[in-house]
Amino acid sequence: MHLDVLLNRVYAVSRVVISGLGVTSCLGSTVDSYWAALMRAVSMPVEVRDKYARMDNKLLYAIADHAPVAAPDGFGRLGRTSTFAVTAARDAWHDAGLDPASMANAGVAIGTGVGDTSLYEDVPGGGPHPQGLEAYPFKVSSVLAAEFGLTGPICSASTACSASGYAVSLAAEMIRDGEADVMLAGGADGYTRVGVACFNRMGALDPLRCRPFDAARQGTVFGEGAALMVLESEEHARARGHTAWYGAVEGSGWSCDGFHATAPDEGARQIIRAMREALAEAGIEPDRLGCVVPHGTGTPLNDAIESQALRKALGEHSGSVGMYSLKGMLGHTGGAAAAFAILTGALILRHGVIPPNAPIDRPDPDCSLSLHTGQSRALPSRHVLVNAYAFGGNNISLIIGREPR
Amino acid sequence: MSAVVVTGTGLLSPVASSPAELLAANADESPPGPQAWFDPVTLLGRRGWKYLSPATRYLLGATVLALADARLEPAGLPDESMGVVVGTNFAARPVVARIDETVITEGAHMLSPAEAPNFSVNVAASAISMRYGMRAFNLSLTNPMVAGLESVLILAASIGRGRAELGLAGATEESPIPASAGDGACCFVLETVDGADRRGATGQARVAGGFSRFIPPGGDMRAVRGPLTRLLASTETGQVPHVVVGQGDLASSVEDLAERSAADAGISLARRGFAGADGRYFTVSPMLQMAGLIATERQGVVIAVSPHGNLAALRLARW
Repeated sequence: MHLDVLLNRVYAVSRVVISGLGVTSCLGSTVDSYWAALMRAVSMPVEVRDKYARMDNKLLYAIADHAPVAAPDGFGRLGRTSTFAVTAARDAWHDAGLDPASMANAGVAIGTGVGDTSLYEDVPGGGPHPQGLEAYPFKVSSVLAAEFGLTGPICSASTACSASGYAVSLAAEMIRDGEADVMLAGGADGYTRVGVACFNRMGALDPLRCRPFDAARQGTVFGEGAALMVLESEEHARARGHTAWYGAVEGSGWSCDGFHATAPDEGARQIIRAMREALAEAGIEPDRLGCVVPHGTGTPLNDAIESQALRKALGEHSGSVGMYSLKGMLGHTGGAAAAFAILTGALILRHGVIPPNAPIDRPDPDCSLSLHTGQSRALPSRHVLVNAYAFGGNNISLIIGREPR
Repeated sequence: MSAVVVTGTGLLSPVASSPAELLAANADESPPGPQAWFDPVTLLGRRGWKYLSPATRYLLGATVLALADARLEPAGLPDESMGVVVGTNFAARPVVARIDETVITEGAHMLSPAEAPNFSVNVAASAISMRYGMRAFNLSLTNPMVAGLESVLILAASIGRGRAELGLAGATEESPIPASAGDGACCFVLETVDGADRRGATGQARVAGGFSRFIPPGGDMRAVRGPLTRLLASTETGQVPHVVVGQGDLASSVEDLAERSAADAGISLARRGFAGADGRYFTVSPMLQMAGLIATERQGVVIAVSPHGNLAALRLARW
């Protein structure tokens, strides 16, 4: 972030496009396998293999196998989160057709809720105690910058479960300001024993699976992984002959409930404002939306309030716009959740199809959203709304779209 | 766009709890003891903080001081006009360690449900919005060492974009090393000049520019030199006070680069340093240097560098 640029109101760029994607997830660790799994609409959590997890509910949408990644020089060992992030980022660069080492003006913005906490959680099992640079839990952004030789702006956002939404929004702003030509942006979070334990204690976990908007839902289920995207100015993409981008980051709305540490404001005033500001920044009305990827965690109160907010923010269109409830497939990936939602939205734009939602046994009549199951659904227009909410009411909504202005 | 100014400063550390104490403190002074320097009752009252982590309490305490210094009553302002951005590296780390110990030895059922949310590092920043109704937005930033300085940059930029009219930029830490000197918090009230004028507040310094960059392993600083030279070139001619926060070879190299960049920009630098300039308070350290410059010369440049390669720079100008 170069403040001089902003203070002088020099806006160099009109549009920020998503030109490359990379994922590390329980559904697959290539973009193609991830999309194919979404289209199959079948996913179940497993019991985490952690003998120190003394808790009743140990469900996790876990990544079963992942190859180790060597740390950049001087960084020591990488935790689970950094490992996922580096792996996904490699694919994102490849997908974008960019060699990060060749770029002088590229940066990184990452969202993560727990960072490399796994290095600490591995200690009871015999892992060495983190020291030196390892000891900083929130070094994922630094690892990515060092790994790919990114020397531009660098940002690490940790607004819990909305973190990577803010990372993408800030990355887009840095490009719009002319501060960077290209940004690696997204989110990553690995399994955290402490996180799952705290959700156990708060009674916020579902004993079966993550089933947002189901009348029988009892809470969320944690997931893990990384979703990384290459963002660049449209001018930069065109100049290098790359026009096959997935979509553009068209708008974002920020807000904060300022209400409770964990519970949403039942009035939903601020999450409605975030959606409306994102739509306004994108310059579209609700009837232009083809799909919504809601936050939808499976927590009874949160899903009901988000549904109510969607009805108020989108009006009559809330009942007809396609809803894609991603956490039913991935679980709640914490700080990576918003990036997974944006990446999935980008794939929906690319394919022109909304995958079938994971099975919902009995849709909650209090939510009354258009959640299709069994079959995919055509995307009627090329704008997708993504919502992400977090502890403390740290809200963000983003619009991504594909059609030219 | 109206310029963004600092109108309030609040700081809490083992060696100083006001800008005046910061100026009087020896930069290398040892703390009096773990948390003996912080009494939550004095700043936060008797209720409402029992289940908050130490880092959250420090941050709220620094917020109280900053708001008082700015003579700002948030309750009298629209909630959607006020934003919060906070930097930290370790606000949740000691709490998470304590929770994990309980989980491993006794089980999750022995955790306090009231304290369970504290595993999330954004609880500290969120506590400000909950207490003062600052609802424009609430961000937590976590880049090693530089996240506090970045909180000032991002809040100022967000005010510039119209996402808020004013807000709090802060940093807070509970050191991961028990009984060490790394605890503390520091906050600034930022607002537009127009807004400050409307309510009769005094600008302590103007946020005049800044940037973040990454220095890759090996220490190649080509990406830093250009923006640093531009930042310094935008200062008034003459001698500019500056502080480089950090330790080791990388910090020394940044210091050298700052001297060369100043020469390129046709100015000279005057080195300053206040308590924490060695980075012992992590993200709070650069904020203390900013507070020191505001309290003395109301201008200057703060550059923070982490051992990982993160770099953030901020320029303050007289107002």
